[in-house]
Amino acid sequence: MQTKTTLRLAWRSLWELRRTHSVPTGVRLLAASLLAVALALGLMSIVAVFGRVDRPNWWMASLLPNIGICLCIVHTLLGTLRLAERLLPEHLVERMSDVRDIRAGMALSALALSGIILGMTIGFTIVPILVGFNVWGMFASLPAALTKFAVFLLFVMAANWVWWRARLREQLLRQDALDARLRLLQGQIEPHLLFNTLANVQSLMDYDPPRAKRMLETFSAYLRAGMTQLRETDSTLGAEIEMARSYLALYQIRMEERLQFRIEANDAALAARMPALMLQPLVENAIHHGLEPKLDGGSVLVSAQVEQGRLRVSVADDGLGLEAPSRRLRPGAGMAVANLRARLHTQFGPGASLTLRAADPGTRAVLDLPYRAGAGAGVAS
Amino acid sequence: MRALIADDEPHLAHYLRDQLLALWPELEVVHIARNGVEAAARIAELAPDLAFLDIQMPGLTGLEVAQGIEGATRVVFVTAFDDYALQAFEHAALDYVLKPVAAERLARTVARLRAVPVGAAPDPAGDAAMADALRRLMAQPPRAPLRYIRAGQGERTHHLDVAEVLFFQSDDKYTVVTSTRGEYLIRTTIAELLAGLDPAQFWQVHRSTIVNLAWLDGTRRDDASRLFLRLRGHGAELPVSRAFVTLFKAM
Repeated sequence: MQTKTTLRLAWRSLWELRRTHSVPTGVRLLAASLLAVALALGLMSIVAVFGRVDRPNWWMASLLPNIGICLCIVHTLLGTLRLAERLLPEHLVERMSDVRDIRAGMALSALALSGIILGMTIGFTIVPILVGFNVWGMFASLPAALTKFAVFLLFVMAANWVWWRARLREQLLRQDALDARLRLLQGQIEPHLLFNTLANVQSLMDYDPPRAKRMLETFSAYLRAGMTQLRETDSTLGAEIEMARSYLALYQIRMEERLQFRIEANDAALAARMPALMLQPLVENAIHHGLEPKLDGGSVLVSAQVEQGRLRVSVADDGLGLEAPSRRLRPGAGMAVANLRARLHTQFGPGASLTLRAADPGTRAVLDLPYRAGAGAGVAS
Repeated sequence: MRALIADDEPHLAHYLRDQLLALWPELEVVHIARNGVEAAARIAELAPDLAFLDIQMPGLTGLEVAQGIEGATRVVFVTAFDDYALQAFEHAALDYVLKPVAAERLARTVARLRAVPVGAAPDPAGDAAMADALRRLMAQPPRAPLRYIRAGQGERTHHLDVAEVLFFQSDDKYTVVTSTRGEYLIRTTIAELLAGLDPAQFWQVHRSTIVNLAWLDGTRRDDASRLFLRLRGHGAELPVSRAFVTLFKAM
């Protein structure tokens, strides 16, 4: 297992342009040599299947020269990349390793291609001396060999391009997930809520001590639920709803008769697994954009159903609605929905969605996810 | 010294009142408002010397209430935590109170407020700083320049060149467009219009009013030193709120 991981890391580091590599040189050379042998065997298999071979013992006679040539090609290629790492100015190396930049990809490809051609030249020169097999002569006499060579080069370039695209996608996804988590961490414990609650407790201690106590209890419950959710990436709807419930209860103490809320979810829905902290931003939006700025306030209904293998969670409010101009002062406010959509996309691709619709009055947000049953139904009923 | 306090959570307002009175016994709290709309109405009616306005209130935010004050009421913002707003207040040297209230901090604010004599003329520099801070805090993202307004009137729509518009005035849910051709209702808010109109030609003069300078005829100041605008081709005068009075000082 350990060796496999080291080799995989070595394989990765072969293709990355970086000043310093974490994998030892020996392991990297081994990985490169293994690659060369695999390449040689692959090429010979192609020739064996598609080519016309009339000489007896062709396989044995060609194996060693082929491996030799491939070793030359691969090591020269990697040598070229390592040389580029050392010789090019640091900012250029950094730019070229940025997979998101198409020009960097092309420059890297050109560098790799020149390495391959140089490697072939070296290989075709050295190997015949060792084994007495004139490769150049083969090319000169056979136009078909030239065509094959061109096809081979095209194949290498295509493979390179496909690999580059795959790496780009992987890095973007990883970046997305990381960003989403960071934003989550930053946004979670909203300072405004924290200080407002403290101010409430400060004043209620004199006028209404039981209410101050209730407020502290509810706020603690909210914080605890939030902390637990923050550590999880994969949570359950039950845990999500507990957090939403304590949040709404906290706001109800503050807004009094201006806020009513109801939560409807059966045990199957409560046990469903879902990404953590997906429901909370929707409930916060309903309060901040819908009900808090509205003179008479209103109500929030959180409901969840499981239907035909899908989990549908809806947050509906009868507040100001989507049309109302935003009153939030913070720059970047209103990013919650975009963040949630990015997170859904990272995890489920097109298999999940978040829709916002204008209700009359108010707003209705619906999360639609694949249903995954979790252990222990009704944990948080 | 007469003061008004506005906060949607009444016990917070009461607590602030008690803390203020402990530091400033001569202060008279004339009203405690529970939302922005009530605060705006009572400030206009009671003309207090001071208004302690919570920023996040239902109806109108504290900032919007401040933008609509016509008289000499001096504003002190109250907030739990609005990072962005606090930066603007600091920058403009505006008065503000933080929740939870810290006695020592509040004492400093009170000392500052007490230094201003009762009935003193409004401080133009302070007004200008307030106008600037409010404009920055409430700015909408810039929009494409607005040249024409489309207004519906029953089954017909009207196409108005903004040059024909004398002024825009918000009326609860709608905005009234007063033009050379008559009055029309549109749904676009004052803040949204402001983001699209040429700032050299259209000035916001009140929370609810944008005027076209091309039609400005002159100004008038009343006994309470409130400022009013006269527009050509329009009978009534338009009030200018304190935060925007300085715009007309240089004219």
